[in-house]
Amino acid sequence: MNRPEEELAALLREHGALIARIARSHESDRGRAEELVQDIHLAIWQALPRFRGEANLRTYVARIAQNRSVSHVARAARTPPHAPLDALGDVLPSEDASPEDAVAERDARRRLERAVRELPLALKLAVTLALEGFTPDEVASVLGISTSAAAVRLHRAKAALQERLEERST
Amino acid sequence: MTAPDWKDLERLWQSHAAAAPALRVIRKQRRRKWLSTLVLGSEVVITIAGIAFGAWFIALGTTFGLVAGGGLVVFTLFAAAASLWARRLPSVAMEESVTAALAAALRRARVSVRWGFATFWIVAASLVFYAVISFLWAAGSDYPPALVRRMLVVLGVWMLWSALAQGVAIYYYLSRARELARLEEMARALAADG
Repeated sequence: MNRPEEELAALLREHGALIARIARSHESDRGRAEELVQDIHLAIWQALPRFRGEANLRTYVARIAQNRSVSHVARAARTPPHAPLDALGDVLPSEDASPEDAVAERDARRRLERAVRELPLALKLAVTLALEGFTPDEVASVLGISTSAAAVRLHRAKAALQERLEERST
Repeated sequence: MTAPDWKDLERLWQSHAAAAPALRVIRKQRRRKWLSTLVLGSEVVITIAGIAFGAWFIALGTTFGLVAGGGLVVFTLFAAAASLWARRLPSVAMEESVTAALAAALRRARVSVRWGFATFWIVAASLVFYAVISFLWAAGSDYPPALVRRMLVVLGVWMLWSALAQGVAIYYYLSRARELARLEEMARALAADG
């Protein structure tokens, strides 16, 4: 592998899961989600030479992933879905989880992913970043809005997500 | 699950791990570059062929040759210029903020829709133009029949290519119009949700 390929491989080792989770928050179809992940990787590879370190690399990656996902949704192919994401089994159970706990955790995570996908776009973008642990400043930077607007949106997004999860549990 | 703690939700969300097939990405990029070069190459060949045919018509030195050849050269040059213009459209930098990238994508999609619409009518007009010329030539030409047949074959090939291009233009216009509608819907949703 040459240097750019090594850089990309290292970046994807560190941030691959973040990218996959952002893709899954926008795309419920397994095949399309995988295509979207590939598109995001490609966009990162193309954008990487322009990265000057002015932002955190994780924020930079999240911004590209969210942008690519928004474009993907706009361009959504008219082909029928292949397989639902629930068929994927790529979950990391807690280290000391029993098989029953692991199943319960997987179900809970599926409910959470579905609830996130059902949110309106603006709230979905914010809540995904919040779930990834981004600060309001970083969310503002990714979305291109002021920090105060990001804080308001995060508050609304979290409330909307909690509401949906409560609805699902009743 | 009732009102789960946010930290629990974060942990649950981040419990998903995925592989990172970097090499597939690079292969895909290389394939795209190759396809893009192929498309560009075929556009160059078509432009050269169009101008050559047009020059050949003009070189016949007849009124018909001047009209048909001139039309062909103008149409070919227009198509080449339109392609060049489309390629010079600013691309959306993916590392920009979501709001900026969406605005840029909207601008680009609007231009693309207009370009697709204009292309459809230009190709339609050229098809009518060459159909009328072919008919006039076949109906009342004083040229030797062998030459007329050769001319009609050339025009026929050109019109078949134009019809194919029209199919692509229609597909392009419809898909870009759908994409533009989705982007506008997303921009409205983003604006509405603060």
